[in-house]
Amino acid sequence: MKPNEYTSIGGTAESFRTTHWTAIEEIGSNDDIAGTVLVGDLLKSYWKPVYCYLRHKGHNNEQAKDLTQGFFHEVVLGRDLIQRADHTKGRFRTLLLRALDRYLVSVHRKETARKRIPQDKLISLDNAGFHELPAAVNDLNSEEVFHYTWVCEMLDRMLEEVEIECRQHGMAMHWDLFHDRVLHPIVTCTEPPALEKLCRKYGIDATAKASNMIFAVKRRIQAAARRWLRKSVASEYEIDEEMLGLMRFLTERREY
Amino acid sequence: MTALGSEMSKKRRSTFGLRLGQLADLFVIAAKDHASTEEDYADQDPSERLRCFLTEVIHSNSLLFLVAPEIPRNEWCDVTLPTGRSLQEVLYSHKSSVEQLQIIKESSKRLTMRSISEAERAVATTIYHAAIACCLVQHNKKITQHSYEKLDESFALLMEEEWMSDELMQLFSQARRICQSKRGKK
Repeated sequence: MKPNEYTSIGGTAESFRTTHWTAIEEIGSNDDIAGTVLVGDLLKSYWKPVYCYLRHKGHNNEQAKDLTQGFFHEVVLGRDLIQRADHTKGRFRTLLLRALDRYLVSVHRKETARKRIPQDKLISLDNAGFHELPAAVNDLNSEEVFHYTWVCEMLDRMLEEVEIECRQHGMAMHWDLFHDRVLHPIVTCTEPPALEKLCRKYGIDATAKASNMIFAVKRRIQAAARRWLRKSVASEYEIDEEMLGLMRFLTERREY
Repeated sequence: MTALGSEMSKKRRSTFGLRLGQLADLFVIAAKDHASTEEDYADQDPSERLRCFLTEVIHSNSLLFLVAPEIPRNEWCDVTLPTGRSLQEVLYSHKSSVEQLQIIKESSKRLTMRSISEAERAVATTIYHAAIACCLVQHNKKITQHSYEKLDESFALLMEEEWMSDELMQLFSQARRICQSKRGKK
């Protein structure tokens, strides 16, 4: 058993019952309706990385959306992915990426994407919101664009989740402080405002207290990140590996 | 869009489009313990730490989980820490079992031994007593060898802390009444 993979109190293993790995296993063992729901959930988490990967490969907006739908419908719902899935071999999104490559080859061989798209789409991508890849990915290859988009998706969902959590638990000011001091400066590439200034803005009597409030939000973000990553790996141990891998990917290419 | 959603959308935009370096700066917050200046102050306010501890949803990376394997569990080996709920939900619920409360008590006891600051120790001690108090109030069962007299004193001392939450004050107050009635019967 790997480090931290303890199961003696039902902790770690318990929490891995509903991951993306188990979802595709359940697609295989459930009826069509249940399978469609499960694929829909996977699609919500992964459509953007798949779509951006396809855009980077040169497909236009409509083609990319159709291929994304087709891939999830044919390969994931069609159970081809389940047969190839082995959660002891690598990350879930790597499996997805390899399957996507095979799918593209098969589409190219057979017919146009448009004809292959089912009439009942899993979820609509018509209002997906973006049609062009951002300048930030100009120097990345297609696979890196997939990972880049996946990280963005993770960060967006995680930040949204923690913000909701904070506001629901009477910690709205905690979140606003974190936003002003940490999030906004990173996103806008600006200097973080002084804590004293933020204390005056929010009526907080000591900078130590403000720091503590920001720290509380960071802890929640850590927890949310692990919850998110847990969905795509098979054990607690792999969460740490995944964290390191993603960190390496982001920092090694950070000049872009 | 809800009021909450509207408030949120004003404040934040998607990370899609940020440079890798910016994503790395965001990701580092999620990936490790924070070596920022904020950490220097993190121990100075027990009320904040307590609030954080109580409202965080219990998951396998929670502090309680991290120390739980150290507990010799000969009597409740099949009992799990309740995940998916916050600690305060567990402590204030009549549905929490005696065994679950025992694990929380034992885990927080270990946290007090590990604590490196007064604030950490104060919060862990509070959770330890809260688990005992909850068991007294919800199950009329004493899960410690401490006497009712000693427990009454401890609850009273905790209630004097200015950083104590209202809910815990109420719990300790209920537990004190039980301790006092048990002492009266002896």
